[in-house]
Amino acid sequence: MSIITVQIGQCGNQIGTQLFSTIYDDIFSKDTGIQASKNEDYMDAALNRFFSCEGSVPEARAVMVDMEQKVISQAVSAAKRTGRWRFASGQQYVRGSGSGNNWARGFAAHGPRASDAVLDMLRHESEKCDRADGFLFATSLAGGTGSGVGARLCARVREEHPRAVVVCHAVAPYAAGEVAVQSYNALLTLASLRRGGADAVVLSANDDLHAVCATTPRGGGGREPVSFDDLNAVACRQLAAALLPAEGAPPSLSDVVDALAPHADYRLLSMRHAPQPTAAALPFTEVAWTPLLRRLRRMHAATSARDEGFERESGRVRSVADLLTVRGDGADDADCDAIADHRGAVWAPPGERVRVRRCRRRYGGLRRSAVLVSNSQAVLGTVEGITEKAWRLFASRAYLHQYVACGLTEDDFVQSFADVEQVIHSYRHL
Amino acid sequence: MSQSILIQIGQCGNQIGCRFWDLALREHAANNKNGVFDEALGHFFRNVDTRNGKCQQIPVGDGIGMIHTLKARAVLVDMEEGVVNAALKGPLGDVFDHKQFITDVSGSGNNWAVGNRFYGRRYREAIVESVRREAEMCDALQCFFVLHSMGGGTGSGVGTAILGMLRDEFPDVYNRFVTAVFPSADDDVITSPYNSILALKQLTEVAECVLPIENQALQDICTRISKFSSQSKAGIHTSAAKIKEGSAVSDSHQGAGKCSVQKAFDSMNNIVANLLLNLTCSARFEGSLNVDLNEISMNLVPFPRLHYLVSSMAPLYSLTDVNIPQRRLDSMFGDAFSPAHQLIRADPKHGLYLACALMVRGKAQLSDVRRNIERIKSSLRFVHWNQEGWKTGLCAVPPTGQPYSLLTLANNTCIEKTFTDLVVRFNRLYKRKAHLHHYLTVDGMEVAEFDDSLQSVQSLIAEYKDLQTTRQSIFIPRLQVAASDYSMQYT
Repeated sequence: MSIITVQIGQCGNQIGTQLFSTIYDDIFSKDTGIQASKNEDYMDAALNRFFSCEGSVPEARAVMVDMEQKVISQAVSAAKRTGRWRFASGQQYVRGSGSGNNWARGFAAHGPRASDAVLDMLRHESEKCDRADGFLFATSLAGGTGSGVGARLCARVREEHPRAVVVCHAVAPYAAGEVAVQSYNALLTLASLRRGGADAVVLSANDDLHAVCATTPRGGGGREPVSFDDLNAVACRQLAAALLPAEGAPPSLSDVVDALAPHADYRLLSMRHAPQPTAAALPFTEVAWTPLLRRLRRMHAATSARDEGFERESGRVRSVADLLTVRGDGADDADCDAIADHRGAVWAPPGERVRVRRCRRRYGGLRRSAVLVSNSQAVLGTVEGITEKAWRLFASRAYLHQYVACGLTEDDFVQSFADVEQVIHSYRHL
Repeated sequence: MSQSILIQIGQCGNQIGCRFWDLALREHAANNKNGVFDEALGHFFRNVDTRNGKCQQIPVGDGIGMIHTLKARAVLVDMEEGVVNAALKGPLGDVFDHKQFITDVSGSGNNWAVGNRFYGRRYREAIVESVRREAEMCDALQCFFVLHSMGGGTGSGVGTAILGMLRDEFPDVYNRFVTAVFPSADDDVITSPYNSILALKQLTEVAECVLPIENQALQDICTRISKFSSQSKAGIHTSAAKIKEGSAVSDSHQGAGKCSVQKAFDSMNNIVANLLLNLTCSARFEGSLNVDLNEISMNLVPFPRLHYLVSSMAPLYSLTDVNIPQRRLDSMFGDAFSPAHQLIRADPKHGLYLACALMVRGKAQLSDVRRNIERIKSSLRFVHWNQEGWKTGLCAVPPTGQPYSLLTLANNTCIEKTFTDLVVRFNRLYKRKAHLHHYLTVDGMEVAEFDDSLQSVQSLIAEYKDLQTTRQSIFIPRLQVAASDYSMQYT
């Protein structure tokens, strides 16, 4: 079962590239904690899932899309430099000039032009798979290319492959402002993905990723500067842990979607992981399953990205569904009831709410680690914030002319607001 | 991958333009040790094989081909021959060829009407032809940079005529950045208020984005830099605090610099040239957060008419002595928001921000930018609907001679003061109808043009003032989900 990644825009391409290198490093990690024969099965399965191994060097199952050359060439050559894996040649779609943070330009101008070529590349990529499982889109929520072109491509892929699973990993911008029109772009993306496109949207907020980085000094001691690479590493660490093979429930992307996104109004997922040790403390990090999972549950309840130093939960976060992946020594016996403790939607059958995947192989140099992918009210903060700000801009009619110039109408905006308000409403009244 | 064309008009525009090409070549030379023609270089330059007497274009290809002869993607327009000829004869002569020049002999006589109505019409075809020729040699033309002054006749008149022409002839290239130099109060051109107001109306209507620069502000910056360097020579700061050679934004290095009489203007022009280099760095070089040129107007222009961006740069120079604790990165952010570093004479902290861009070059990390935004934002006033109106960019390549630098572009209501000053000076002349007849004798120029322009500028000022004073007056509640909605059935 193979996953094909579509990385769009600067953020998407950085995330995608980082994801493949995280996965590759994990596959060939020496610190497995399991028997060699078992490990080989795992390696085969994992490699086949993300890489095509027909040639001498594994090639990432990826299609790269950007409206600028620079980022893609950088990513391709960075992968080539490792000498261990690479991006397939001819699977890159590049145009001369960017979308300029304008969602409408990405969606209405660049997107349709790119669709056919990208769909061809996807077809080519899926022909290389024995069995394709689905598409993973990596985009940003706020940029023009990632969000606009991404939303358009999602919709086109949906049309062309109605049965394929489409999961979108979207990075939400810093709430304190990264792009002035970020809230418009994010709102339009969310609305468009809701209307048709992705089966599930995994949201990673830069603020959350930054919080994790800022409290885990890399290489020991002192406050170190945080770069985009660090943020991407955290996001990919979570994503890889959730997507790599494991036993138990959902073995494939479509099952992940089945388990986590059973309802059209509830498709927004968030990720949390524990433990988050410093690099220096890594060899000494030794947490038993029960405290680890209890901590993860508390993080979830407090909607904290960090694994320590957060406020005690004020109210509980209701979930539609959760997917817990535990990896490491004794994962088979880990008592995962602690996670199942929090409240779910009234209509969700209790037994179905939490699925657990277990893998006895260690992940990321940790003896025990856990990742929780959750379809819950945890996303409310991010989505609320975006909608609130976008509405303030819209009420003053600021920046509208830029979108109108690219063919979007005010009605489209109102419709998008209505769509996203519906999502917020649904989550709030779980 | 993308390309820009620089159109330099009039004496001021051409002088700044020449400094720009000089510094651009230096910047690329410093970052391109192998002498290859890569995509960064291809943004502003063409690679031409001039052997065999032909002008063979060499595409960037995979970015490892050698440089043959670099030609600037530029069009030089002047209604006199002096400056343009000097450029051609000077050390930069090789980067231009004759087809890129449009000149006349008699000048516009500091008269906007002559420049705009007479020469603008007369040379329209020639200019279109020349720009089109440059445009055809780009595979993804992204942006026109138009450089001119507001006070003179050619710059303001022909410059604004060219803007309209670009809009009509190249509708696909929606990025028209104008760098307009505003005259200082003691300007020696008596008609400069007329020219400026007439040109300002055109800029408001036609340009996509305008970076206003005030001569006086440039002079102030130069004075400060030279004061500091002379102080350090005199030993007041001890020998340790010396400006590192080639690091000040006004430095022209040696080499292609002109004779010493021109030095004062040269260093002022260098500041503007550096502004353009920093503005385009992200489009040329790699970085972890690229800023495409399209993104600037997208993020900074919430309403189409309010597209005047106040710019500032920091640091203005760096020190030679490594023993002095390097000025902290954070103080660079503080400096960039102080009045002394603005390229117009205004204090943005007293104005209202509609949006603000931070373009960082060099060894600065994402967390440095985030930290400083958190730190600075309490001292700035943002409009209520855009409290988070930041746009950030990170480019890995620093400017030559400095470890890092910051360019801020702000859509701030403080620009209104510059316009108001101009209107006052305009009215002083216009009340008495002084010098008006020079304009009215030009074919196609009427008094109504003056009134219209004045009105346009006044309404622009009013729009800025309105924003400055209005608080969050009307509150429109967000959309509500109707209770009878289908999703409610589940809860």
